[in-house]
Amino acid sequence: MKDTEILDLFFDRNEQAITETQSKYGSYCFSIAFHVLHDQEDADECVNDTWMRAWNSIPPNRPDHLNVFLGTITRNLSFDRWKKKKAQKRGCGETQAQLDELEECIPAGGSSTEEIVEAKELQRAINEFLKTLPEKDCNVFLRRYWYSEEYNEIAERYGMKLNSVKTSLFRTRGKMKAFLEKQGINV
Amino acid sequence: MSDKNEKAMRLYEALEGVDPELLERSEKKTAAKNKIIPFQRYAKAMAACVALVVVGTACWATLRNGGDQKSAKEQTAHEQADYVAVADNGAAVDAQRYDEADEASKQDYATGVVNGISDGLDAQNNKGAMEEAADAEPQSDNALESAASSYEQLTIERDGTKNFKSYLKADFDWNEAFLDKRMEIAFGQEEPKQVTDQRVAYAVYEYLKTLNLARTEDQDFTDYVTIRILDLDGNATEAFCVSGDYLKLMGAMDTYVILDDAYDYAELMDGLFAITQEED
Repeated sequence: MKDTEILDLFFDRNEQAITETQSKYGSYCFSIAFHVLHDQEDADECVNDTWMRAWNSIPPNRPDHLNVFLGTITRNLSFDRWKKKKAQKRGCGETQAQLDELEECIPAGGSSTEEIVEAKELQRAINEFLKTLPEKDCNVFLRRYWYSEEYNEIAERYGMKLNSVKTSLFRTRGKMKAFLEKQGINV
Repeated sequence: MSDKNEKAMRLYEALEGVDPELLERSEKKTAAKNKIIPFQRYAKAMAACVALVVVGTACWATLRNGGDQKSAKEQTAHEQADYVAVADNGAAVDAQRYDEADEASKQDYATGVVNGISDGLDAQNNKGAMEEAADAEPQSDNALESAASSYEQLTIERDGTKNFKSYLKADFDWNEAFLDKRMEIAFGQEEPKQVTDQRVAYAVYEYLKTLNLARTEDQDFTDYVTIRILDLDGNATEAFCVSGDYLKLMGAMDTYVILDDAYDYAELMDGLFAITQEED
């Protein structure tokens, strides 16, 4: 079923919308959740919550890219759940590793509340930065920090060597830090 | 939770606003394309394949000749007869041509023959050189020591000091241009690669030992390590590539961290700068 037809079902408040969405994007959303949480049960719960949240937000929203819309919900829910789990016990594996890596992107500068930019401004800057990157580097960056995929999965997806993936990410993080500093952005 | 970790989380969360077009683009799987295969890396495999083909052809030819000598003789007789007939016809045509030929064309012909012979000799020489290069397997300890001493001599000539370690700087970003540069600088002219590679590889091996870094678990060393030789002002004056195979040969792969990994690379660079500063 096409995305537009699924969206029509949502707008008609037809519960088949959930079934169709699950059938088409269930594995996609599960993959995102699982990469963040590394727990099947938690990932399943996040995916179910995703359908619920989509049901509540469509309408009024009518996303142009249903997959990204659902993926973003799943990612946010999974990350929230991950933070709760992290508060309970330290060292939550791969996601913590990604955060450690992202620390390299933090621009130098003050950290007072006034200087911290709005989330929207940061999103705009990140988007602008990503568009300056070569397609391959941009894709690798997003697979790692948006989809939370592991190095070897990214390497397999793009037919790259493991070390090339690491190198690409290492350089992109450095570029991102420089870009944000140049833009005068404090995280 | 540290301040940095919180900031990293903010970055992670800010990524939710990434342009959907970019995310969709990243969904597409792409295979590696136009991959450049370094010849010297697979030279042995290629040589083995060629050797197999040659041996196979020779065996087949021998069996075929041995199994049917009689018919071969008959065939040869037929062929000779045909050849005589063709030669008779050709002689008439040649006679006409020679009559029409002038002195200049004869000279051109002679020059062509001389060039042809010369090319043939060159080809033979090249073949001999290639065979020698293929035979040269510099794997013994003596070869390593000899390579090391050659490398030190090279260094002494270049910058007047034996302490070459502080002038080595590594980068993993090799490409064709670097490869060309290596050919140009490391050898000066086109010579068998193994000798110079080994000298440089030995230097890298020695240098890795001084860093005493631990080996990473997910080490997957491939391709080349590019080494830039810096002058006293820190300017890169020369560059080399060392193939992973040579480092493996030296045992560097099993004991020391390899420069190809991004994180280790960063550590390595820190180590290099520290050593340089100490010496300054």
